[in-house]
Amino acid sequence: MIKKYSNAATATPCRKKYKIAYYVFVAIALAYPLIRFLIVWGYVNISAIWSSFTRYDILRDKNIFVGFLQYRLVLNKFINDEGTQKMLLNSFMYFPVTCFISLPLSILFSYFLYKKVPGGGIFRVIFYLPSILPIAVLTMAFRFAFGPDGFIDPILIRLGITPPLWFGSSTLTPIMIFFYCVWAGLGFNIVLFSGAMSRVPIEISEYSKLEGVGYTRELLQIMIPLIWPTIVTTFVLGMSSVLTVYLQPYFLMGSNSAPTYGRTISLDIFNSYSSEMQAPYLAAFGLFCTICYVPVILLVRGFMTRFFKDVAY
Amino acid sequence: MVDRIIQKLKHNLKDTIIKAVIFVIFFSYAVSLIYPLFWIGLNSLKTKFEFLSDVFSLPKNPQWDNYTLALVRFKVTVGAGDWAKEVNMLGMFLNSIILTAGATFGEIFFSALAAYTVCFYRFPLRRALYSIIIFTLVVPLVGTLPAMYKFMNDIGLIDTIPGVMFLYANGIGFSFVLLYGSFQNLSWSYAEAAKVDGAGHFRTYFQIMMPLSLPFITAAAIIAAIGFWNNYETPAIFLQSYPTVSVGVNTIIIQVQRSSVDRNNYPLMFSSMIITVIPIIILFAAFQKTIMKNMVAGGLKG
Repeated sequence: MIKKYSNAATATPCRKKYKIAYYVFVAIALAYPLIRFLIVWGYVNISAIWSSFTRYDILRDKNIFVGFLQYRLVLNKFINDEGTQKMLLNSFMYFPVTCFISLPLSILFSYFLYKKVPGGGIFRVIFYLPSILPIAVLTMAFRFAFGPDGFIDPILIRLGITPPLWFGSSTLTPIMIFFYCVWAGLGFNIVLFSGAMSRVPIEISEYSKLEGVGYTRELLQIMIPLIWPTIVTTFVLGMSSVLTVYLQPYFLMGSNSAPTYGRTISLDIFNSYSSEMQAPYLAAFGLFCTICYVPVILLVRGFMTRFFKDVAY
Repeated sequence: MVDRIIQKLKHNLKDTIIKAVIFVIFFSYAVSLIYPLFWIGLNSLKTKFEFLSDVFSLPKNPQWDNYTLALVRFKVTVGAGDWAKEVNMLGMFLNSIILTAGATFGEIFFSALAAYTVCFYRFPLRRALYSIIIFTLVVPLVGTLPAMYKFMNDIGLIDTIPGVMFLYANGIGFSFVLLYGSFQNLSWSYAEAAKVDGAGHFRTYFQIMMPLSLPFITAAAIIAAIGFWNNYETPAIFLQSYPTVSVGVNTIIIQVQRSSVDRNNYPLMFSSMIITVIPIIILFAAFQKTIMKNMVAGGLKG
């Protein structure tokens, strides 16, 4: 049997000395990431949680404990403020867009790349292109293409269609932002799914071909169950975009001025923070959203992992 | 027999039609991704008036000067009062290069060592550690930006390049997951052989296992470098005195749309956008095969 890993317990020569060296190596190798994790993730998150229970006192020039006051303010805004409700709805719309449009499209594209569509290698590289370009440039290219000096409007005019104001209305702007997210976001997932599909043994595909299994059946009954763990992870990542997405609307709506119809949870935090005074409210706001939404992500993940068993191949 | 041949021909025809349709879809999507960049590149070589008169025409007299102008003319003002200074695109390039190089080295060095250790060494809480890494990667905590800003300020790393390098060089982030997946495909028998020859753990890693894993470490490094080069939010918030190209290009875009000096000088703006992406395109073109092969080999599974 081939040994796949090192084990301190099975070391024979000078066992004690080897054991010490073994754990010293582990400790040194993990020291920086763990210390950094404890500081940046642990300390910062704990101080953000603490901050959410305080308010900034100008007279004393420090934060004082106010219990759940900030959370009550957040809840009050969620219930009574129309702008906040619209912003929450905007954010939640990224869930279906990412998980039910972008993700299935990526799987479909990856599957046909796996099935060796002519030019597949070049297509994969081109599809990955948006993932390597700066978001400021890519969003500008997209926004400009649909702008009054861009190339979409003249084409539509030549076709006799009056172009709408793509980034100027409350109904069309969010759709354009979602469209951008799908357009620019496929490539990264395609590379991930292609990776998962390439590990599926070729014999399975050949056998299914001999049995006369069609594309739809092969994709749904063979490929998807075999790459399920990657789908689950990508789905969960897509779900978390509800909490994290902000640069796309930020740039597509012209950086500084974010109208209500394009606001998201993270964009609100990014745009609102300008002084120490706002920190407690923003911490409470972000944490409240996280507390409400993360259990949903974990539930969905738990539910999805039960669908198919992880198969070793 | 004839029936079987007909059936096979029908199947092949159906297969060809499906693949042709898919090819057309892929081609259209690929064109939609490339054309905007090509259009920007083309229009960056026009004069302002040439561009405004016809956005589709070829440049009559290519304005290569737009590129040299974009490098020195567009400036971002940082600081205030006596401390105010102007940084042009060359300065932004320098900031980006220093930041990207340092952060990539730190990130990959620590991520590779950590991924190798978690992959091949058995120690208490190893599985828990991996689960925590995946959990923090996929489940974000929102609202910690002010706390992070205060923390960086308190330790004196705000507005410093080493400070942002520290923020970037995670060690257990996306690079870790990529490298962990790749290390899983590497045989431990090489390390076993080195151990038999008397090599210690560090020597085994640095002289045997790391050189063997160089292709996927290179791929992870390039992916990380591209990410750091493109990152907007971290330098925009934590490195305001040293603007990077991705932060600067956004300021330039705003300048062209709003300022009175270069208002509507879109060709100049396009030149600065192209300048920003050129290093990435070169890096990606040079290592495209390595990146694709190793991204595909590593995969993502949580």
